[in-house]
Amino acid sequence: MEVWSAEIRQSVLLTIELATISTTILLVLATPLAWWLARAQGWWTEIVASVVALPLVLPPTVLGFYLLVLLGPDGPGGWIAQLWGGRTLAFTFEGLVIGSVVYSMPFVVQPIRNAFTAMGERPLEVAATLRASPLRTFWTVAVPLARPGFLTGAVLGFAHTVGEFGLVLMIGGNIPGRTKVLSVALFDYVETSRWREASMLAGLMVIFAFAVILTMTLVDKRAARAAA
Amino acid sequence: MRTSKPGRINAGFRGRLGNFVLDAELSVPATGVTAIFGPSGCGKTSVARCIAGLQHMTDGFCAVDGDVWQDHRSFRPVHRRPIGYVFQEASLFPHLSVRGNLLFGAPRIAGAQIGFDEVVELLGLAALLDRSPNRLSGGERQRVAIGRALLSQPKLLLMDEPLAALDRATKSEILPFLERLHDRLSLPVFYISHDMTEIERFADHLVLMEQGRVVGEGPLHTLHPIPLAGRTGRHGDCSTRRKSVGKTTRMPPMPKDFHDIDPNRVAAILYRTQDDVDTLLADFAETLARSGERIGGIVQRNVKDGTGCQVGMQAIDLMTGREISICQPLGSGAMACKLDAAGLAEAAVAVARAITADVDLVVINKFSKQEAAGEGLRDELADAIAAGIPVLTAVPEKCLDAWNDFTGGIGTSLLCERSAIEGWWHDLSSRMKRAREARLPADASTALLADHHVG
Repeated sequence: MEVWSAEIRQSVLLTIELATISTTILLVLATPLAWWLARAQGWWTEIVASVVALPLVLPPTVLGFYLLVLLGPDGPGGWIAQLWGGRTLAFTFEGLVIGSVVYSMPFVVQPIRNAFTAMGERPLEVAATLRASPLRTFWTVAVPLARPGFLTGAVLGFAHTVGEFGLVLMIGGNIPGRTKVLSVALFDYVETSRWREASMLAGLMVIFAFAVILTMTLVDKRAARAAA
Repeated sequence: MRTSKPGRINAGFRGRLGNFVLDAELSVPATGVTAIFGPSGCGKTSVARCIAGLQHMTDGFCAVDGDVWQDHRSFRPVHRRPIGYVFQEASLFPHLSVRGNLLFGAPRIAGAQIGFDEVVELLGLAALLDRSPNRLSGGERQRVAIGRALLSQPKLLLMDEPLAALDRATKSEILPFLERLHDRLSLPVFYISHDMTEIERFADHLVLMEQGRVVGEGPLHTLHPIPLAGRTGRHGDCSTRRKSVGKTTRMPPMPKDFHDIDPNRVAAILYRTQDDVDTLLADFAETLARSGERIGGIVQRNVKDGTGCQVGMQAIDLMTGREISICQPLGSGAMACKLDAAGLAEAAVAVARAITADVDLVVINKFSKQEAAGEGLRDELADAIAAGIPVLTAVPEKCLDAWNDFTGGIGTSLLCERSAIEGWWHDLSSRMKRAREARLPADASTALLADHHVG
């Protein structure tokens, strides 16, 4: 039996595709949200922040349950799916992307928000006194200064999407080539006593996790050095 | 004042910022350097921020040279106002090089009033252009910040205490650059500072602020009518410079402060803690007392151990040299030391004794919150004033409010640089000595204090 089977390769590729697409969407959505959370004042800011942070605390199955209802044929997900003739978003790759985005949102928003908060008002004020419009200030001052936050957010978002299990199982099922990502595949191998493949995948994940943590530490260190 | 006039900068802002109430109106010429001067916390920075549009005061008006930036209907956002703003901390963009910082606000079209090369030359930045701001010294950073503001082609340059965060050596490194700017550019500048020596070097117009209000404004030399002929030599270079740019020759710098010593009020020198003016005043008073001057009051000093660590406090009566009782709680650190009840009584006696002896000057070298909390020596100070004896004390800036409450109208506050104070005291002590040698009447020192600024 070939160890690096087509099956595993499919799972790995699917996982990377899911994580890449989710991370891209996450960055697009999280950036304005983090900017708003960092700068708006008022009690509702914290309410929104708490809602965004919910996935940190909720069991993934609870989140998965609600998403299943929302994405199912009778929820908004079903209506959207009808646009291209589908019946539901549940158990589809698109549904998985939506779920991943919701699930990983706090891990992306928080570091970016912190980076925006940490830079303070001053650089933005300076840019404004130099005739930079708010949009130009955002792109040429705020985003470059928050770069470590973006890096951390992107890495964490990617890693969490790769690592999620409960949510995928709830809304994605276990369809090879469509929703069978690494974590589910690992579970599957254990269930069917295919220990060789299971230990391969597990080892792969350990190496990946180690690489993520190492990268983050190095990024943090570099940012600290640049700030000094 | 809330009208727009060509050639003038008219501004008025009224409202609340946290606990602070701002109610400032000013009208100054739209040429030359206008200094906004006042103690820390008087609202100078708020005024500058309102003019820049960084602070939006609903009840506000701002018009620069006929161009209305804010009135009751409109508010032009910061990035549409042709200003340059130099903050107290240089606030350079850390992700850009010096060149990137300088060019950030520079318009891409030609026809600029001041060019890149000119700014680089004027501020001596040529060697720094490709460096990162993280690798500049404090003074270099501030020079880049000034250059960056200039290159945005402002019609009004606002400088908010640009030297306050720098040490003395760096200050004197930058001041010549500021003077060159003033001479070379026709740009109107608002220069905010609590340091009169800076202001006197290049300001043309002065706005005085106190507790959120403008309490005086006018050309610098009319607000400072005191000719100081004796000092021209020392600052001859400044006078020549003035002439060369076709301005009225003005008298050289002198801390504003001592002009205003009013023998009918208790004079307090406001100082920053690191300037240690209280110790300076103690040295001064003790030297005078030792050399036989008729001087009374009390001095308090920190007692340090061999390693320079503060371990307690000591207070003595200037006339008798006797120590005054101080409460020194064991082990609770030097900050807890203060005059106890007995000490306060002894201090009161010391001041009363000085008044009876009709001394030339009463010195109490230290005022702190503890005196404000207790009854302190207020009555004794009032007695001294009533007897026509000038009183000199030193008050840390952070205790200004407590000091104002404490004196309830008999106090006056002075602001100045440590070096100016040293010079002034040196001068004063030798004059007191000469006066004594000439056997002037006993009340001569009052005259001296006033007369010093005329002579």
